[in-house]
Amino acid sequence: MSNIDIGFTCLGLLLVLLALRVPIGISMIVVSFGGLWSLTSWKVAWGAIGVVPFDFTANWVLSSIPMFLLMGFIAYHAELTKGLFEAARVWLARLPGGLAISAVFGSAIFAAICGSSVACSAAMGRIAVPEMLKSNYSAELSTGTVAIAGTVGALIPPSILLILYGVIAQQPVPQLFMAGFTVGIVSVAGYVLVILLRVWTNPSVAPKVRRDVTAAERRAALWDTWPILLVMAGIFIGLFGGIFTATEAGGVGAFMATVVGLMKRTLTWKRFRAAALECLLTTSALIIIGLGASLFTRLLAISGIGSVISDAILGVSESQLVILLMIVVVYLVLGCFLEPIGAILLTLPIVLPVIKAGGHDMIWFGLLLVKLLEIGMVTPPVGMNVFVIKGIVGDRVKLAEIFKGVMWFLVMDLVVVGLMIAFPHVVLWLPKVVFG
Amino acid sequence: ATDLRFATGFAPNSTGEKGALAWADHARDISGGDLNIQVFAQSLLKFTEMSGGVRDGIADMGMVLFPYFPAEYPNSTMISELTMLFASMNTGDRGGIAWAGALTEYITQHCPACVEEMKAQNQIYTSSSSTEYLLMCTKEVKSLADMQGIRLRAPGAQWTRWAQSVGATTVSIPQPEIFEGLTQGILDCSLQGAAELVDLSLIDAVKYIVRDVPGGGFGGTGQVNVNIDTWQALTPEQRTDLLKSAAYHGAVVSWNYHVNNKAALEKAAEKGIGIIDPADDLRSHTVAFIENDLANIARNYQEKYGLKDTEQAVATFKSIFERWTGLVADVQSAEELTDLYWNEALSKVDVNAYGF
Amino acid sequence: MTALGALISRVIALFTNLGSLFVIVMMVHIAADVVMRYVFKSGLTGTIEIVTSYYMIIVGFFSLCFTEEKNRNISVELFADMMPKWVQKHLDGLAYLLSILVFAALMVRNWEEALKKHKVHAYVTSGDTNIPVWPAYYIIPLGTALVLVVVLYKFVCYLTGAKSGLDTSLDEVDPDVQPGEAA
Ligand code: NA
Ligand code: NA
Repeated sequence: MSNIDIGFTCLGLLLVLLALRVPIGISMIVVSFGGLWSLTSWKVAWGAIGVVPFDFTANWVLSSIPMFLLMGFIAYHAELTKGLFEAARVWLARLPGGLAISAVFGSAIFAAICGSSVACSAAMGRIAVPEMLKSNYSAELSTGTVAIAGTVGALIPPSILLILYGVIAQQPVPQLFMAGFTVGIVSVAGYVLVILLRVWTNPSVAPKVRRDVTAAERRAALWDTWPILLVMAGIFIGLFGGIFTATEAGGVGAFMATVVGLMKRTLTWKRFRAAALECLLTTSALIIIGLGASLFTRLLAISGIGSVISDAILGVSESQLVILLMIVVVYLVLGCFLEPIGAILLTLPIVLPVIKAGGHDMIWFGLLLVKLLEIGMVTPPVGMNVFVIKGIVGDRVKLAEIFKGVMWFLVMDLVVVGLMIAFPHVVLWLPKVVFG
Repeated sequence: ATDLRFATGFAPNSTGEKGALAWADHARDISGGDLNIQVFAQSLLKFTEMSGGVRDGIADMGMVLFPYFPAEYPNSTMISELTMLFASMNTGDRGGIAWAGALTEYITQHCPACVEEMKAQNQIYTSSSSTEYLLMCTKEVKSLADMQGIRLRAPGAQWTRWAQSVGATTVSIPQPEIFEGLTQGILDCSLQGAAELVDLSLIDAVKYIVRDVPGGGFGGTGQVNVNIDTWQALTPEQRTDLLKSAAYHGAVVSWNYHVNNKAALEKAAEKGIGIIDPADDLRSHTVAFIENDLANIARNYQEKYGLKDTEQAVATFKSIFERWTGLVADVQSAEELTDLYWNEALSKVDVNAYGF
Repeated sequence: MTALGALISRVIALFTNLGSLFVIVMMVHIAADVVMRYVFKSGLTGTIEIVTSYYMIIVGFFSLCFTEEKNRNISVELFADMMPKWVQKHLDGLAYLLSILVFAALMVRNWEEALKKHKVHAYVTSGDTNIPVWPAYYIIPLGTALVLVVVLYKFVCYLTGAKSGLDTSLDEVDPDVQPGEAA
């Protein structure tokens, strides 16, 4: 068997193990070990599983992931987010579909201190969905809005996925974060537009909420958002005032969220522990896949199939656009049933060389990739954000209804993806302004 | 033909990878196709994994940076801490090319302990590359007084001690975050090769570049460290060809740095970045500091890490380096430099004894 | 058997608490470094090295057993979920078996690596200070040994059909969020 044959056999074996529900990390380690063994020797394979684990984990940029997770979880468990939805709702009371739009804005602001899409959906879902259902908003609109709005949690910085992309693709995280702002805000605007259009064409999905709001109420509601705004302001000032770097922002932000939670007297030991436990679960799940992916990269390199596959993809068409659209479709399909961390770590070793060879900007591609994977968070059959909302609403709304509610927004997301491909310089505008 | 995997931690398309690819061609040529080297830039081993990776044969050969593994390579790391000799010997922009030759000669001819410590990691040393570091700042620093309170990223212990001696404070920030640190004001100054002006885009962050002070550079590369089992399995002819081409590799990378540094500095000057000569008080303070620090380094390695005769080792290396500053003074190309590294150092290695 | 499972869960809880503690220590350490650097111009020596070589390794590897206990490893469930229940049971068995092989290999190999690092007393330099990192290498074999115990136990339960008695509930964390899959 040639090296290429061994490589493809390993790839096939990996797909089989994945289909058999063997954990992604374990599958990748088994296949990489076996592959390295047959390509080279037992000694090399045995060596690799001792050289890689420490080195992969002891990574400074990676260390910001548990810290950003912690910050988001603390903010959520300590109810720093609570005033957010109420404030948006009081201020947007007059708009058609005001509650749904409030949920989108609430998610967008929470996204600025929460690195994960699921956590963002869960936080806003608990507050906003019951409120919308109570106000006779349609089940589809109520749940779909929050499920999709959560996805900006991974676009507006901080973002676990963008950090992970930065680590794997060796791209500067601050630039990725800046570009994430633009894509996140454009997505938010798109979702608001969809809500307005839906309510306009079918007013019954969002009945007008009769409630007169006084100026005093507005001020009071705004005042209640101070905890989250304080944490946000702290991070913003620290980052741009040269006090800490983007990597340190996770630890400092988590600390600030803790302090604010204590000031607000909502952060109990039990809640703090819950936040730390969530952080541990997510981090260790990520580490074991990361380890597998790191080993798998060596297998791709030594067998040479990495470049064979990349070349094959590049050979499909003369047009970079066709190749790019192909990659978009592949990620949309993968997103249907893969979880983003797994999808990133599984595919980047093969896809990155294609993107580099195509001369695309690597920051821009990072954003495109995360946007596509976030679409996967709400597409059936496996859509984590939808599952989270389902967990919150229980038997009141069917799973299929939530997926259906998301569909309208998906059309807008595809438009945003199209815009990102058509106008890459818009995505890269903010990083350029900030970093020259 | 023998297939050999070479790993480097440099990124694709960097000066380092281009040098490695040129070397692979060179090795193929001089061996008549007998040495078939495949270069893996970052895809096989990162710099932090290199020592263990070459030890276990994940790569047959790799570029090992000794200061990343000071406990594994104490003798070689000690020498790498002496690069501030660039400043006291006034080597200008030829410090790096002289250093690479001196280190190659020193390790292969004069430092059995260095060879032994590599052997303990299941590998042999062949050649080195080197380049000078420059002090790049967002503020104008010229005199000793200017250095007071400057926040500086120092890439090694010797510069940290120097920074303390001039009243600056050191900030530790990983290399990829230097740009962010300088633009956001977490750092006032940072020390690294001129190539980083382009590679890390520091050209957009830096306002002033200081010449000659504090001096020093990257001095601890094993450009092509070879797994010992791989080495022993080669024929004597292949080993000779590999050594010859290793001389070329060290030379071509060092020379390319020399050329690129010049270009980067010109580009910086064009962009309006001030290229400053240090004031006399800063210069003389630095030279005095270096003399003193050499003794420090020798004592440290003897007391803390139990190395033997470190004072002698430092003196030996110093005289070898001095000789090399003369040897490279008129070199005009990578090829001339290759000949020097080969004739003056690597040709003296007995390929039937070395690494056995 | 269930008593053994409960015992294992107690050991896991111990290491999880330790992991949580280090999450907090990591947060405080990073924040303190930033504050010190801002106020006193000079941060805490070795923050980056300690965060990466110690806290990250502890947070990543001590909690592997916790993730395994709560069944929160990330896998592709789509195809397996379509199969009959009895097939799925055996798929779980396969996953346990492969996990045992992987964690056993990682444990032995990284123990070897830790011994090598111990022998030379591996350290890294931060500024002018040497920070020993060799003790951190022992965390990996320890963490993988813990998770190995959990999967071995699960595998035995699968073979014998016994009830595991492991504490798989997420009540202490958050039943809605499904941690481990959040991104
Ligand atoms: Na976010
Ligand atoms: Na999906």
